[in-house]
Amino acid sequence: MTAFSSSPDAPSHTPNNKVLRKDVSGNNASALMVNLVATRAKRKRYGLALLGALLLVSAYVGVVSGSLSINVSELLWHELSQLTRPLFSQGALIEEGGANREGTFNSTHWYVLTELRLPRVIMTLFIGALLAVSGCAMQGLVRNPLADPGLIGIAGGAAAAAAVSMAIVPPLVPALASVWVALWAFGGALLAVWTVLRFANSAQGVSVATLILAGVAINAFTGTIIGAISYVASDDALRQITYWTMGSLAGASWTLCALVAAAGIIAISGLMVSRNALNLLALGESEAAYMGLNVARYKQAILWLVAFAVALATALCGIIGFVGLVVPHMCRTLFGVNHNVLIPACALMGALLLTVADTLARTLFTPMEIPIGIVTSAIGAPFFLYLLWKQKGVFNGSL
Amino acid sequence: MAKTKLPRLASARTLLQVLSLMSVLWCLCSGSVYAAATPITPTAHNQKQSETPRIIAAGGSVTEIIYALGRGDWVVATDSTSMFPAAATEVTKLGYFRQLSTEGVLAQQPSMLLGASATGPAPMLEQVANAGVDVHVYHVSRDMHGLSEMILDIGHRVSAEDNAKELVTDLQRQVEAQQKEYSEALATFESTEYPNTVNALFVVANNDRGLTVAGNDTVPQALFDTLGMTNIAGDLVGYKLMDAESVLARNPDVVFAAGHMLHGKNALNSLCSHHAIATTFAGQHCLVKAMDSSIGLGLSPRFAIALKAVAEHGLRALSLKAVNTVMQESASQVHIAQRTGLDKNTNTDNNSHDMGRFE
Amino acid sequence: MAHFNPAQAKPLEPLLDLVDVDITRGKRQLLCNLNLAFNAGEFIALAGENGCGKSSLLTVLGGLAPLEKGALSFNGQPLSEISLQRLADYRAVMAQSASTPFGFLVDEILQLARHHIVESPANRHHIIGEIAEQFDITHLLSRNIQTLSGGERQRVFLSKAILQLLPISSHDSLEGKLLLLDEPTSALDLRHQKLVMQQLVSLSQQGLCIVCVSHDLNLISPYCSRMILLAEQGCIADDKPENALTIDTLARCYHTQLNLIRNLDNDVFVTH
Repeated sequence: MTAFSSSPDAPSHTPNNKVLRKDVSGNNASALMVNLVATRAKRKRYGLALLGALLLVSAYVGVVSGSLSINVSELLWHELSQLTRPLFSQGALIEEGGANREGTFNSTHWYVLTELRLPRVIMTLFIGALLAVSGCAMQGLVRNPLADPGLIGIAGGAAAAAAVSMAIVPPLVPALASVWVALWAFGGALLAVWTVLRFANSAQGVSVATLILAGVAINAFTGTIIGAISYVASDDALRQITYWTMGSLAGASWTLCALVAAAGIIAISGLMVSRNALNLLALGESEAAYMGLNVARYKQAILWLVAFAVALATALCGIIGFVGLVVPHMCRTLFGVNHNVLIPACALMGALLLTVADTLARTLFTPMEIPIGIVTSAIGAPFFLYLLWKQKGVFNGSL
Repeated sequence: MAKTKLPRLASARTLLQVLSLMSVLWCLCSGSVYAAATPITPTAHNQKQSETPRIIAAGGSVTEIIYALGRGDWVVATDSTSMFPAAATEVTKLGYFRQLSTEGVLAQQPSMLLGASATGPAPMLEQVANAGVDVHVYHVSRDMHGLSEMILDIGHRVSAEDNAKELVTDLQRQVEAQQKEYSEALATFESTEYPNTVNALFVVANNDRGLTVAGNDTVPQALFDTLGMTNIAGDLVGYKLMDAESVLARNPDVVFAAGHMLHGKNALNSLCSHHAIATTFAGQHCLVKAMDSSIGLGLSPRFAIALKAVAEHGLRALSLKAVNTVMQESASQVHIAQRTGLDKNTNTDNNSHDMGRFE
Repeated sequence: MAHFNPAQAKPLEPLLDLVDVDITRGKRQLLCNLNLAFNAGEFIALAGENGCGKSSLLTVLGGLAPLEKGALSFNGQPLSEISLQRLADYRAVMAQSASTPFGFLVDEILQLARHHIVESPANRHHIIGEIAEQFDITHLLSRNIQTLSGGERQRVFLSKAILQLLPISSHDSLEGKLLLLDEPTSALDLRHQKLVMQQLVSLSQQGLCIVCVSHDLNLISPYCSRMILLAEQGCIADDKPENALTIDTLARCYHTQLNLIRNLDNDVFVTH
């Protein structure tokens, strides 16, 4: 940078002489920069790899755990031998071995492994990642590390609509009976977000303060609806509503799994692309605009992406709380606040946390299953309090 | 606008790694997806297992019927509300019948799952059925007709048709006998000064929300209908909250309370002095009777026993009415007789399990 | 948005041209019929009493506030027609205060400033390193922004604003670029005040047009090439500092009697 550097023997400064006294070129600082960036990149690589490994382990544990004790390796070996059977010319040999294996192979076990556990674990991974990343994006958007997608009324809207569909409006179209509640919940969540945005949107863009306040109002309103419905609902519907709001991943099937995976991939990649935008927004909206970000467009896009993703997750699995709040916090403590590493870290850690929670939910009180929402709250709330305790005083003045 | 290459690449790589890992996992399982996608037929499933059917019974009434048909030894697991007969309490409990877990059910290697209505959740029923288990949930009307239907169908499924027919016939005979007995006793109370129909109310919960009572389409309604009593909550459907004013306005003569909601010795008395009941006929004479929830709320083969208890209580009320018009003092004596009679019928052991037996 | 190419702008045209511009805040009109022209290479100080519209003018110049009346053109093109993305290449703003709810590291913030520039990592690190040395924040690069003092934060955000504008190659000039500063030295100690001012002068000598709002007239007058005093809903002085600052203009500006000291080099200092 010749524009700035000059010879070390530049004239010393006098009041009239406005020429700069320059130091030696910025080698020290840039070396420091390179060092910082490299350390950070290394930490990111190893941290994410570690999370990924933990995730695989927890997924494996999830698949092999459950009320039914299954010998997974034996099952897989049997299936593998089935698949490779046509390749072998000596049919007799294999027949014999196969017959032996037949005795120990249990089709129920195979069914449980492939139709129940595997789709459930995969779906849990995606939902955990989705919820965590959405929470992180939400916090970046409203510039408050205590934000949660529930702020803008998603959970409330979904629960209210689900309550209506369970207590008041029976399936009108028979073909949709199995997805009736989910459809209503999805619609309700989006309706709530749309309403909140109507209030918060203005010519100047989305006002974060109004967003939060409108969200509070909508949550209160949906709470009233749920309360009213609980009061007039039949006992049956009341129980259904209660269980729905506690969240459950038990309805997992490959179809559902595919749906969640698709939504998860779209949402997570969409938010990955917006990582830089989130970084810029974190400095303030006018700052971000000065630095060249199309603030209005990104805010809307991120908001709707988060809304769709969380609405889908809530519609399919009920209300699973704390993941969107606690996971980004944990990741910030471990990886720093830069969204470049934070978003992927949140995805991995969210998936990890929810998988562990679901495995616990399924195995703590066999043969009963604890609703997943209760497990995440039971783990999440104390952990969150612990985090706050450790960081006492940090938030003073910065909110 | 492009940014520096370095950070972008690193994150895309992580994403790719995760995605490829996912797809590898997916591929590993895809073979089995197509294999297991078609539901396993029950016959193929049972080949490898012993000949004796393994039944999971969900809901106290279903369990009771199965045992009554003599197939209790085929039952391998039940839900947490199945506490009758005594043998059923020793069988593995799978949890609340509305929230059974699929794996928990399948872990018992059942060949059949029989459940009362509201057995669930719905995805579980579908998954268990897909695993090759014979699943049947009974949605019958809450009366003798429905009960008979359920007994006959269960009898058919557990290969005890003859027992079932016998049970139904017995039941019908018992009920008819009760009806006759009651109407005969009723005739003795005929008078022009007061009507001899009994207004009844069945309370299932008492909390700060108010009184939850049994309306139409419930077993208490069937009990009252069989005897010709009037359910003052008959215009409500199912179990609903009834406000104090309606209760007072309709002035029930007798009140029944579900056993599982009564805790402690003074529970019945507190119900008598409940502001919604105290000034009614039932409250004034403390005509509040505890009923075993498993027969009072659930469709049970012991329907006749419940009927008898209801009939006795109704007749007590009528006799009080007769006495009242003659002498006021004897009312207190009847009071004491009532109280001792009440303790006999309260079965506190089963009560806590009967909570949530609403089927 | 019209394609904005500064190369097409004629060299003699002002970088920033205000014609009959009104500055309002809410319903109050702060400045009326403002006519100003800023050129490349100028170091302009904007002064005036509290509430006279300096910051609002800066927001309008930055392109974030819509114009009620009048025309504002940047390099010949109306400012409103230039997309914010393209504008970020030519205009940087340092606001009076910046909130940092998240604990970014200083070097992350500085790197964010150049997010829109395509360059090699080595070049980026080198440029950032240079600026860090010049504004004496090298020792702060690995620090959490939330833990810095007010003065340190100011230097960081000033560096960030400048980094947004610096070209990839050191040989390119800064002509056609605009730096808007709102009280950049309010929390700095004397040494850093001097450092910052010297650096700003150096930048303006390379063609950067700097518009700096400042309360501290004595600090800025020796360095700036042009001083604009805002009062009476308009501009009452627009000249070299030694000419713009007179007892009369100061009285009209601040509504109080102030004294001036003139030294041998014709630098002017204001005292009470």
